[in-house]
Amino acid sequence: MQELAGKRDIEVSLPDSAVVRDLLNRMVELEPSLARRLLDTDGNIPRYVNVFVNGRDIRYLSGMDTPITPNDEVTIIPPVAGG
Amino acid sequence: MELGGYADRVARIDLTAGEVKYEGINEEDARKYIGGRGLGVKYVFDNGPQVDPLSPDNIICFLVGPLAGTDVTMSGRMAVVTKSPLTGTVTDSHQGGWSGARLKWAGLDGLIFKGKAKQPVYAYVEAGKVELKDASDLWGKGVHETVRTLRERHGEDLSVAAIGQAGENQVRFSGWVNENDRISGRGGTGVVGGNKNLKAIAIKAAKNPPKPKDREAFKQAHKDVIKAINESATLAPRKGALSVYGTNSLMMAVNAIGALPTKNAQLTSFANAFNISGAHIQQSILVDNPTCHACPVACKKEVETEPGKFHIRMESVEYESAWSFGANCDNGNRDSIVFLIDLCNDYGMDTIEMGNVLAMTMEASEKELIRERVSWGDADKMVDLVHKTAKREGIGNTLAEGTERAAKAFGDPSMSMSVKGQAIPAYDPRGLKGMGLAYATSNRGACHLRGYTPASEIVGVPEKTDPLAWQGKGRLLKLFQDFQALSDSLGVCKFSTYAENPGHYAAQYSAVVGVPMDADGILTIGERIYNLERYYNNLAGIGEGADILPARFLNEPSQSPGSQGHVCELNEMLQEYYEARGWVNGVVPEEKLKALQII
Repeated sequence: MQELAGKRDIEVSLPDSAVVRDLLNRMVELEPSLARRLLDTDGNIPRYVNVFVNGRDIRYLSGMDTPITPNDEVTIIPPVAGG
Repeated sequence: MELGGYADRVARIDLTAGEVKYEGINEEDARKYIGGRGLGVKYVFDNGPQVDPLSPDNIICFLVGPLAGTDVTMSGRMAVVTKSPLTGTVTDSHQGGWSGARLKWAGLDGLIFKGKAKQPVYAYVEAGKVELKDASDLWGKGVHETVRTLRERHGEDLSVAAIGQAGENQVRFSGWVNENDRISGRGGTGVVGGNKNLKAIAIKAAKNPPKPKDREAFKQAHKDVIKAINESATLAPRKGALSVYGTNSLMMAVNAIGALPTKNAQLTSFANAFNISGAHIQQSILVDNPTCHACPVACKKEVETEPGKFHIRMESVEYESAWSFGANCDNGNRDSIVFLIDLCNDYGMDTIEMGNVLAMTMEASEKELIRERVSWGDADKMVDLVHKTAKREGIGNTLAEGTERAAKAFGDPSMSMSVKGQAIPAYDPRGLKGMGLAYATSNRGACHLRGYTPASEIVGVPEKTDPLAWQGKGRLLKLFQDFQALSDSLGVCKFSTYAENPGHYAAQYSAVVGVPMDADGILTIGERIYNLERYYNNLAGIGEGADILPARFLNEPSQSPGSQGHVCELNEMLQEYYEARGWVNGVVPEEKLKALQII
């Protein structure tokens, strides 16, 4: 994503009652080049992209409506593979 | 035998007598066990489960499957199969590159060695024939020099698989390394070679892929596979995760979910994970992306580290190895990790076991159980101990016995993160519950490759499951184990399973071999192979109660976000798994053996 955005850091402002969807949408507003990695055509995360809030996959929390606070660590992992 | 893809020729080499005989493959065995791992397990089984792994009566087989060396995508794998001196189980260990393809091009499906040579030898293979040649000048040399010497001696179109000094010195976790630094690392197969005075195999053959039996069917099967690979988020050439970052793409994901064993699994995440990750390596020291026979993915990552004491240019900075010398030893020094991997490759040692041995020794030092001071993350000391282990010098003589035996010798067996005598790879069962079950039920000791549940638990292939849920993992693992036994037996890379399903395998098998096959049928063969291995182990005395995990994973909750408070619910998963398998407490009952036509 650094390559797509052309930078290491972006600063995102969110309201107090933000959820993951807000974060991803805001990131894409600031850096449109991230859209194809972060969101599919339905506005959800693509199948092989993992988003974790404090290490927990949002698919097992409230999905894109998982609440986030300034103290939370949100990790976005693009498709990975290994073994 | 009229089956396609096979050379229908196996060499049996009696090292004691110095004689080579040739035989075809029994067609019933080929239909039931395919080749590579499956056929190798059958040969080892027929040799007798009671054999002492270090006796001349143990056999070591180098085998390829019917798809190896053909135009099937990702078909460059070779299996090394024997009774393991590390675990006492049947073991098979695999390598990529070109050695497997070249064995097929040389007109052979396999080499089976028995006995012990009076002096060091290597096997030279060309045009369907095997000659034993003097290896006295190679004995004592590392793999890299052995490969160079044999290439100078025998010229181009040569593949070499060799043991290093570690195999010669019978380090229990030594393996066979080929000219591309691809190692058959797990299970101590290198010890068997060293014990037999067998230094290397050198295979000379130009490209000569066998043709499929049904060329039209092959064209369609191949087209379907290429489409699946190109559309895969993980395999797509130059776009997918494996292609861009290699296996080390996993480091940040596994760390994020609190499943990265750190400091000998005392912890489940590592603060310096990014520094040793595939993403960082790709940005900083990557110089090339090598590949294997017939593979468009090119998951290998060739790197060159910074000038200094850890300067090296090498390929194969794999996730497991980076973890083993990295997080598990609390070492965030990227270049030292690369250097250590290369050192192990040259000595011919399993990086997973070696890193585990070092981590366990660091814990022993921390607990003051040993006089040797080995601090967490001390890269210089790690290099020193790798040298000592390969040469069995000083404390290295104990480390050379592997993690489990060394921990016992140090006075605290609970420090060993091993199952059935083999150390764990880079996934903590508290954060990836399916892997806990996979380690416990692996027929060759703790292993991630028998049934790779992170494909589902992290990547979402074929479907996403919750890594922290234990329910359903028994049934999932059985499916993975049966499916992944097929890759190893057909001779294709296991990473193909990220894009291909059993139907793809069946279609390629049908087209190449000329035997009609569907997904259920080929999965039954995988199930049969897995059960034959289990039956072998049962007869060798590894039965009820052997499917266990280190207490750390069962009793010490994870402290990392993502897996906070979790332990591994092994017993619950085992019940589900044994039910799915039709086993009784880890033992294959007679009715199952008959149903699968094993007996």
